[in-house]
Amino acid sequence: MYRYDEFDAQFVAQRVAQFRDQVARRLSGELTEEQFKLHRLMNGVYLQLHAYMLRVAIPYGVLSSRQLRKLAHIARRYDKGFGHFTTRQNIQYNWPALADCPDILDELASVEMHAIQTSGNCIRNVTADQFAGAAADEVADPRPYAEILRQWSSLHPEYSFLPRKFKIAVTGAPKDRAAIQVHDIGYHVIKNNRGEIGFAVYVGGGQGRTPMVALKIRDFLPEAELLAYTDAIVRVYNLEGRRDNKYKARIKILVHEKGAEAMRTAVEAEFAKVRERNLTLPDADIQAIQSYFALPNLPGKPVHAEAVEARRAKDAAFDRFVAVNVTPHKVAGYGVVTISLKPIGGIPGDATAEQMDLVADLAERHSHDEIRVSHEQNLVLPHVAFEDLPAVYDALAAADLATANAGLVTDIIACPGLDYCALATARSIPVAQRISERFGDSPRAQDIGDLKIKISGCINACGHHHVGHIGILGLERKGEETYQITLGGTADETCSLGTLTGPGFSSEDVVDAVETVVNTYLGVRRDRSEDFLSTFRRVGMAPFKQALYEKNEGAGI
Amino acid sequence: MNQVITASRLTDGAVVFLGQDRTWVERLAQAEVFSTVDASAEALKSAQKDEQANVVLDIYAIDVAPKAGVLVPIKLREAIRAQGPTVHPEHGKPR
Ligand code: SF4
Repeated sequence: MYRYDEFDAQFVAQRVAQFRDQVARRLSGELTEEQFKLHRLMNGVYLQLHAYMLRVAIPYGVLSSRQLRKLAHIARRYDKGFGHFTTRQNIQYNWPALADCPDILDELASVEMHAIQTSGNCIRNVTADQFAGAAADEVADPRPYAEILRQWSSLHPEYSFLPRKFKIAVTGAPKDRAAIQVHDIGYHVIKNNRGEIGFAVYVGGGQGRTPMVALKIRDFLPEAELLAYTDAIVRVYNLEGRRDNKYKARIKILVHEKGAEAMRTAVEAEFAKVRERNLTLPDADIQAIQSYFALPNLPGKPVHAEAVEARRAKDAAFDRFVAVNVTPHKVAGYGVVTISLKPIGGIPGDATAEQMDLVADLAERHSHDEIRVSHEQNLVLPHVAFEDLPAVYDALAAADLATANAGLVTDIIACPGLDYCALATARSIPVAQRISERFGDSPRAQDIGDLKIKISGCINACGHHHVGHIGILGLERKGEETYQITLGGTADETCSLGTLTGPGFSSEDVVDAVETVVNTYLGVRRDRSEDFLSTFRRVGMAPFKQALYEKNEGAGI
Repeated sequence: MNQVITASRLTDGAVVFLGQDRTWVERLAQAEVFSTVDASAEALKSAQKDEQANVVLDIYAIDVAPKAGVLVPIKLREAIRAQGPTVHPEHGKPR
């Protein structure tokens, strides 16, 4: 993985020292909240319902064991023993004291991490496929490009005060696991017919109150032009994006108002100018960054490890774990293991310090010291030899981390919602917990197959509800929590936004409503191979609407 | 009408309420309850000095009503602030 050079280390250390001084001046009363707020947000410190919250970036979701142990240590020493992994490949601490924040940032700096640009109207943590560098279906590893973008965008003088926040995602496989079409810029690493690496470029996707699927602005951008083209897009946005209305300030609105063709023309014209400014990446520089992300030395292994097959034959739970949570690796004899942070009835994305330590140990022993964090709020061990699977599984199971539900109905994304978030209109986590309990670890949950439920506690859509196969949005109506349901959304390469079923449901009724949707799907699917999304796309909303509202007159509110 | 004054404590962001002796307390049960609009507005105004003194921030009044013999905030958001996350009762506040 990327290692800080002297310049990086110095820059982060200076930033912590600056913030330490700012915190001291705030606590002594020298700075008012109004003066201080911008500084704390620029260092990832928010004020939530119960306490301050510190958001730490995990660049493109990549962690070493040493870093994860540090995150565990921070949870234990400065917080309440746990952290929350978010849909932005960040970790959030829910209870840090303000005076401790500079110390926490110092601890993070010691393992080459920080909280810079996890808030504010700047280019945020660049996200990527959590299986990057390991997945069998990968064209090229997206992490070097994400790292190049990270370096370029860190404290970029021109782009530190954009009209609004700006999110870039990169994926390197045909299967989009990084939701690139709902980002301000999405880069899809591809090869052209001459075998050269480049990017399909998507612009103007996003969720929130005005969800939009991105416009594909370029079919093929040569690899070397990554920064020049990004610069062109962000410059057009910086100049033309609306600053008069916060709700219309994201690039998606600019793309929408300007029109696809005009946007493309403006970006290409700017790109022509930018190229003269020498942002083209020299091959040697790309290779230098790529060398940090080289595949670890993975000696070839048999595809069928005998011990694993024997255990699978006699242990149904292990067999299910391997079938559901292990994805093919690019090297034969290895698998990519998803560690679900969605135990049945648990809080999506939460991990205790002990669990983090355990995963760090397992990564060190069995995954070449690498861990990944997914935008779906799970952890990943990217390089596990099949023959190690029994040991990994047993250790995970002992720590309540072996739930075999990756991609299934109980692998629910949920934002913190009204349990923590100052902007929330309703709770998300308890709804996720109740849905998870309703379906549980049952054969029925397995039979339902791939089904992504995503829950947000307000229209900001941090829980990605617009792109949930079943999306749930918590709102407040007349003092009560009410939940709208959308169907048919997806953030993968066939990206689409969900459609509202109709009137919302009370907190009491929403789990039944989800079950009704699932039962309707089971009733209309052709067979088990037709997953929820395909079925919805074939049959449309009608049967679901009917099941939700007509059979049960008065169930909705 | 019953109101109490709430804020977030500067040092740790903890939810606090204006208490009987005009100090900030952590438990709603120890908060002073104002039963008229005027009393509440006046308390809010005088509490602002603690914002200027950098003791607390985000001071505002909330409506409370008796439920099962104790005063609780009417709005769910404020009930959760007063009690802690509903999903982590162990990190909540004692009543
Ligand atoms: S979606 Fe709303 S409630 Fe959920 S974390 Fe984002 S801002 Fe908070």
